[in-house]
Amino acid sequence: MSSSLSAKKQIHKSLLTKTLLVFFIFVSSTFFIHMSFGATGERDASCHVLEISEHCDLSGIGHLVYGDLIVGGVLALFFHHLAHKNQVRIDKIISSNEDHRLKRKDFAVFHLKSQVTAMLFNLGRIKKTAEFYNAAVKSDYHPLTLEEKERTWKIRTLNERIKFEEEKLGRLLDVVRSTLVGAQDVLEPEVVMQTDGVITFVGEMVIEEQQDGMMEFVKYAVSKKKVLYLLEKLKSYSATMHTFKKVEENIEKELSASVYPNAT
Amino acid sequence: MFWIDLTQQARDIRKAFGQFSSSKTQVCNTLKPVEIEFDAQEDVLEATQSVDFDKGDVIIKKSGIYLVIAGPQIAKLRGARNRWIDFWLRVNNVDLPNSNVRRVLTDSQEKDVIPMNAVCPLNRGDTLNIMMAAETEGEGIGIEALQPDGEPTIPSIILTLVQLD
Repeated sequence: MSSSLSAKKQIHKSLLTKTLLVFFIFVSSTFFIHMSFGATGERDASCHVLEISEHCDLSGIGHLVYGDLIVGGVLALFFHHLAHKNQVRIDKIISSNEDHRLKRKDFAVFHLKSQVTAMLFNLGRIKKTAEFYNAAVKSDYHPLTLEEKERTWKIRTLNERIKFEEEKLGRLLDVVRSTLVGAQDVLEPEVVMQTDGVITFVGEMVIEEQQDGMMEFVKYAVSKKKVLYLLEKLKSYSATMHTFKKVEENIEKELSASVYPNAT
Repeated sequence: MFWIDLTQQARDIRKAFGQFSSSKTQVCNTLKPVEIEFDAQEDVLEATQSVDFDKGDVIIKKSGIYLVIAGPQIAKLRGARNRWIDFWLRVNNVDLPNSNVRRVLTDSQEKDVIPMNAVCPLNRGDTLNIMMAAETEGEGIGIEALQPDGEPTIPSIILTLVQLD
C-alpha cells in the first residue's frame, strides 16, 4: 500500500517537473521569437548585427540567433536528460532480464541433472528387477509345494514391479521433456538436442518378453551410455560462469582405457 | 621416428571418424524393420577415433555434422520372384527422413551393393542405426558376407562416418 502511494507521489512529482519544463521552454521560445520579430531597425550603423553592448540595441537577427541558442540549448539538455533517464531504465531492464535468464539456466541445469540421475537410477532398477524376474522364472518348478508358491509370488510381484518402474520411467521422461521445453530458450542448442536425443531414445525402449518367458531390457547398455554422456555434459556446467565446459577431452582418456575390445 | 610423427599428426586432427563392418550374413526373418549389426571397427590410428559401437548401435562421442556412407552387400538366398529390399538410417530410434533406398532382387545369383549416403547433425551420445526391411520373410533377403579365395572378405556391410565440421 505504502509503495503504491510513494509511486503515485513520484509520478505526480515527475509530471509537475515535466509540465514546468515544457512551460518554461514555451515561454522562453515565444518570448525570444517575439522579441526578434518585434525588434526595430533603428540601430547605430557602427554596431555589428550580433553585437551585445550598452550603446547598441540587439538586432532582430541577434534576437533570433541568441534566442534560438538558448531555446536549443535548453531543449538539448531536456532531451539529453530524458534519453539518459530512458537509457538507465533500459540498462536496468536488460541487466535484470539477463540475471533472470541466468537464474533460469542454473535452475534448469540443476533440475535436468537431478532428473537425469533419477532416470539412470530407474533404468538400473528396471534392469536389476528384470534379472531377478528371469532368475525366478529359471528356478526349478515344484508343483503343489511351498517353494512353487513362493516362485509364483516372486514372478507375479517382480512383473508388477517392472511395469511400475516402466511407468515411472515414462513419467520421468515427461518431466525431463517439460523441463527442457521450459528452458530451451536459455540452454545451449547442443544441450537441448542432446537431451532430446536421450529422451527420444529411452522413450522408445522396451522390456521384451522372450519366447522362453524371460524379460529382456533391450539396449540397456547403449541407453546407459547415452544417459551417462548427458550427465557428464550437465555436470560440466559451471554455476559461476554459467557455461558448459568442453567435455570432448575425455575421449582421449576413454580411448586409452581400451573401449574398443572388438576392434580388428 | 616416422611413427612418432605420424601419431602426433593424427592426434592433431580433431575430427571424428569411424569405419564399421560386419562379417556375418544377416537376413530379414520378419516383415518388421531389422537393425543391421556390426562386429568390427577398423582401427585406424585409434587416438583419433571418437565413434563407438555396440552391435547395431553406432554411438557418437563428438558432436558435429557427419557424413554417413553405408554400402550393404545385398543378396537373396531363395526364390525367383522380384522382391524389394529397403535400407535407411535411424537416429536415436527415430527414422531419418529421406534416407531410404530400395533395390529389387530376382534370384540368388544377383549380388549388388547399394550405396546410402546422408549428412546429418549428430550430438555426443546419439545412436545411429542402419535399418533394413524386405518385401517377404521366407526368401532369405538381406545382406551377405562372402569369403572369396585369395581375396579379402567381402563384408555384408561397410559403414563410414566422417565428421565434417
